[in-house]
Amino acid sequence: MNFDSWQLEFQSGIPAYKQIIHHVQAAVASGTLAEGDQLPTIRALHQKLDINPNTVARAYRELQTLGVITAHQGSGCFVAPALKSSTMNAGAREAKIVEIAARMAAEARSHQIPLNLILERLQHDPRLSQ
Amino acid sequence: MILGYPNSGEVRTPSQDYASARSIFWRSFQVARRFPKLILFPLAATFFFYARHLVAALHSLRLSALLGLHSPSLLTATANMLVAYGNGSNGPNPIAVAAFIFPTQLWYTFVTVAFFHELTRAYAGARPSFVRGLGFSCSRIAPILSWSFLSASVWMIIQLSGVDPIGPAPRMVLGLGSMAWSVIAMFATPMLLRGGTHFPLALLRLSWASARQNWTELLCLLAGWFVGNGLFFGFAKVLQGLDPTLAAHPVTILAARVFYFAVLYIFASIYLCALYIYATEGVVPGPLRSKDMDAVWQIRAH
Repeated sequence: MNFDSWQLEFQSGIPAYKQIIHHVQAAVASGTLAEGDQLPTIRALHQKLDINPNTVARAYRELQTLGVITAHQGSGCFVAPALKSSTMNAGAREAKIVEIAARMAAEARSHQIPLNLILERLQHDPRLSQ
Repeated sequence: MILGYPNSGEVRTPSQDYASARSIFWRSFQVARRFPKLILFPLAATFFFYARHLVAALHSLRLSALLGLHSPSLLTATANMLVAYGNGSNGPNPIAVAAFIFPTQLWYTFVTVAFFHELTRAYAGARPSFVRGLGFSCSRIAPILSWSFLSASVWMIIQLSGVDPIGPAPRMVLGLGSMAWSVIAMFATPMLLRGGTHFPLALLRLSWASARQNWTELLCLLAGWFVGNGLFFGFAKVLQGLDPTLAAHPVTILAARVFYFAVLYIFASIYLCALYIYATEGVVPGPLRSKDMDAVWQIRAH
């Protein structure tokens, strides 16, 4: 995976640690990052993105809580095996729902699309509700 | 009351905001204590603001003759203009005000961007460098120029509006206007650090959006600023009561000004930079300690 393409939008209003989480999740969802792939170290990513190391650390901690990555002492962070929704605990599931909703709301706002239009489409479009 | 943050989807309570403000305050204090060299930036940035007091002190101490300030040179003209502008005896001449405010604002923004750049490094635990900071500002010269022009224009309007003797009500409106401008434009300078739009009006809009998103932490900064100001002017009043001659002496005024900038201005700048990082990154900045590194591994046992 080429991490050089990761860019942060500092004027978007979305905190940088969340943007990193979205980048990793998008890469995992698209298959660009596969199970067992290693993520850049905290030091490398904070230098590359020119942000505080604590920001990267927080993003990695949250990704670990969400079950997207695993961390091995002395080795680094790796993409975790795919998590089935039935195996996800209630807290992680709730966090996931909030995170998806927040991302959707942010995306809709950035394009000035009312949220109710998105919700209507989700409810009535069979392709999206599948 | 629960506050929602427009784009982030994050919800925080005021008590969490106060906790963040406290955390930012202590991190700022730690950075200021660890890297005393950072003091160079604000002293350089605000040099022209107190230069007129320096000139007044030089005149008062009769050092002007030693330095050749009495000769009809550019230096004398500049000194006289600064003194006249500072005293405001005949009311500031718009040309003199413009000649003072525009270069002063440009220099101030230039050095402040360098300062914030080195502060972001200092918060990550790296040693700051004055030269590297100025080098960074050189790479951002176009947005610095355009922002300085807008900012200086607004300050000039504010300065010139208060020339004629006006009543207390308009003076209060003017004071509120200048305070509102300070708050709205608070994040504009740190925003010059990073990519994105650098059009001055867009910067102003984004700065206001950031201020609204982090109003509690900003309020703590303003409260601290007012308390600091109160203590400073209270001390000045006490000194005036004890020894009016000493309090009115230009050297005392100069020393007080430098102290004022050194304590209040520097700390406020460091706090503001940390607040900007917090606003954009969502995390209170600090160096990555081994304890924090370990925390990543300790969340879940595999």
